[in-house]
Formats: sequence, structure tokens, C-alpha cells
Amino acid sequence: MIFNNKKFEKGVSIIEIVIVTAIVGMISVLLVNLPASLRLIGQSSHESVANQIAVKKIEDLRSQGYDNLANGTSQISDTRLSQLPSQTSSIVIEDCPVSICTNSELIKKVTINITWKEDKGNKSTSINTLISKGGLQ
Amino acid sequence: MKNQSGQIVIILLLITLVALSVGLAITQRSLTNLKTSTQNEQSSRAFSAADAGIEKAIQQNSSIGVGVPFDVSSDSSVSVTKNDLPAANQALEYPPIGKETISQFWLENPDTLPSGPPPFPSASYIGNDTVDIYFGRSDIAPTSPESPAIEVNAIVLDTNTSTYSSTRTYIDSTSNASVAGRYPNNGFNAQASCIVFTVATSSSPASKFRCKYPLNITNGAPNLKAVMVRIRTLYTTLNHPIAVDPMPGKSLPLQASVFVSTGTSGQSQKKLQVFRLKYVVPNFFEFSIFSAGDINK
Repeated sequence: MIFNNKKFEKGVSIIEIVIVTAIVGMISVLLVNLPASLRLIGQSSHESVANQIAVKKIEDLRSQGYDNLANGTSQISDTRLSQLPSQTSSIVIEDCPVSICTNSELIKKVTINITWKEDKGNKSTSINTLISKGGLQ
Repeated sequence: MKNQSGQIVIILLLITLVALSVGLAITQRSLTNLKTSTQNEQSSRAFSAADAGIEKAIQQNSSIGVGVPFDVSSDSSVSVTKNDLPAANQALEYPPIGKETISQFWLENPDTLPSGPPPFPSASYIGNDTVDIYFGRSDIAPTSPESPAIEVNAIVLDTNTSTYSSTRTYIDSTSNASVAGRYPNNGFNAQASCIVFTVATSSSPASKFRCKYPLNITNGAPNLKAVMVRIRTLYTTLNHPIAVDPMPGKSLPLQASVFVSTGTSGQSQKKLQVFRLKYVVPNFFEFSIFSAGDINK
């Protein structure tokens, strides 16, 4: 009599566990990071737009010349601002502070500030420059 | 024993591979975008700081922030160096001039020229009555239609009569044999030597020019003093460098300043250069009439 001594045991082998763990791990990493990555792409796009608006405004003000710049705070008008969610913008023109213009030169300090809302909070970009009487235009 | 076959693991692995590739690409793209936008922002701040530095330096008429950069804001700084031009015995080089631009070179010091009603008091004159004019891009050959001619408008002071006069001289860089209609067919005064010259100027120790023309403005008349030359290009649509070199032992008066401004913000640095003339004479009758034949009134 020949007995068949082979036993078949139902179960999961270790290599299957390792493979499944690796696959699940990779997919979970992907799922966690993908929304963050997509959000970052949107955020950097907003930053670029805000930067372009600020740079253009600076150049516009410089071409106006010192004599046509009135001290005060005003808003930027630019159609591209609509691309930024819940944005606020400001142009602050003031006489150059004594800390910078030690000889009371005829110079205006211009600060452009643009703030908008991202998922994780507010983001802003800010550029400062000086515009002088008889200077670059 | 049953033979079992199946492909589910392989399929799952392939799906995972594709999904990971897509995910990694998106993540990398987002990081690159963020890095680029941050660099752009810093670059703009640096440029604005460089602009601001030039404005302040022009107002102060001096260098600023040399050695220790000057803070324009909490996140940007600038340093500006100012150099007065030209140095003693040095040729003065103008930034490349285009078709509609007139370059102006003082040959006498405008601050010490006689003024007021005639007769003018005697003045010590530098005597730059003969100068070498260098002009033209060295890479433009005289056979090219873009090879420039120049109109030289020399302003001269007659110390006997205390009057100023203006004389125009037209110098071509090429001949009719190379470009139809050019010297002498166009009636210009002379053709320059155009073999490419390397000259030490206020801009560079080895500036290259295509042509050179020695201009004798007063022909040795003792009562005439050359005060200024105003030069513009003709025929060409390109910008060309131009320089005026005094004779050995003579110097052009200080008449221009170069401001070089370096703005810094974060990792970005931007450099601006401004060439500023001390005194600029307004344009006066800067027109020329060219005619094939005599003009009869």
C-alpha cells in the first residue's frame, strides 16, 4: 500500500504578504501625497501670477515718474487679479524714510503687496523699490 | 497535485508601477513649479532692489552699499558703484546708438566754458581740436548694407567773435564699389579706414570698432576751439558702438557717469548698468537734406 503523505495546507505564504504590503504601502503614499502635490502646483501658479502683477505695477509707476506719484495707499487694478482666490492688493507710496534716504533725497518708496487665500492659509507677495526725481523711467 | 496558474500578482504589480510613475511625476512637477515660482519672486525682488539702488545712487551722485550692501527691505539689498568718465587720456565710449539716437561728446569742460554776453573772458581751453572717432560694429563688414555712415556735427567757439558755430561732416564706412550709392556717389566728405580697431575706452580695455576717422575740427586756426561733437549713424538699422579718442597727452573733460547696481534677494542677484551724461544739449535742427543735384532756392 502506498500512502500519499503530502498534506495541502491552506494559507498565505510570506512572499505574498510582503508583496501585498509593498503594494498597499506604495499606493497609500501616493494617495496621501497626490492631493498635496496638486495643491502645490496651483499655489505656485498663483505665486507666479501675483509676482507678474506686482512687477508690472512697479514698472508702470516708475514710468509715471516721481512728480506724478502721490503719497498714500491704493489698490491695484489688473484683470489677472481675478485668478487669485479672495485676493487683496495694495500700493503704498510714501516719502523715502530717513533710515534709507539719509540726505532727505527726493525719492519715493513704493511697496506693492498682494495677498490671496490658499487651502492652508493666506499667501502674499511683496516688492519694494525706490523711485527718484530725475531718475530711471 | 493540481497545477495552478494565474496572473493577478503581475497585473497588480503593473498597475502599481503605472500609478507610482504618474504620482511621482506629479510630485516632481509640483516641486519644480514651487522652486521656479520662488526663484521668480526672488529674482523680481532683486531686480527691484537693483532699480532702487540706481535711483538712490543717482540722487546722491555717489556709490552706495559698497562692501556692506544697503538694505532696501527686509529681504533685499543692493550695492551700487559709480565711476566718472572718462579717465585721463582715455577714449569715451557711448553705449551703442541706434538710428534715431545722437551721441554727444564734450571736448571742452562745460563747467568752465565762458558764459554771459560777449566779449567772453579768456578761458583755459583743453584744445581737443583734433580727435579720433571710432565707430561701427566690428562684425559688420563694409560690404554689408548695414555698414554705417556717420554725421559729425562739430560745435566750435570762435574766441575772436565770441560766437558758436556748427559744422557737419559726413563720413562713410564703405564705398560705392561695395554697396551701391555709397561714397563717393552720395557726396559724403570722406571714407573712414575700416580694418577693425581695438581701443582702450571708458567701457572696456579692448573695445572693438570697425572704423576709425581722424577728425581735424579747427584746422589749426588759433581762434577756434572745438567744444563738442554730436554724432549719429546713417544708413544702418542696427545699433553701433561709438567712441571719441583725444590726441596723446590730451584728455576729454569728465562728462558722464556709469552706475552699476547689484540687487540681491535670497539666492537671486540682478545687475543693472546706467550710463548718465552730465549735461545734454537739447536737439537743435538735427535734420539733414540730401540731394542728388544742387538745391536751388
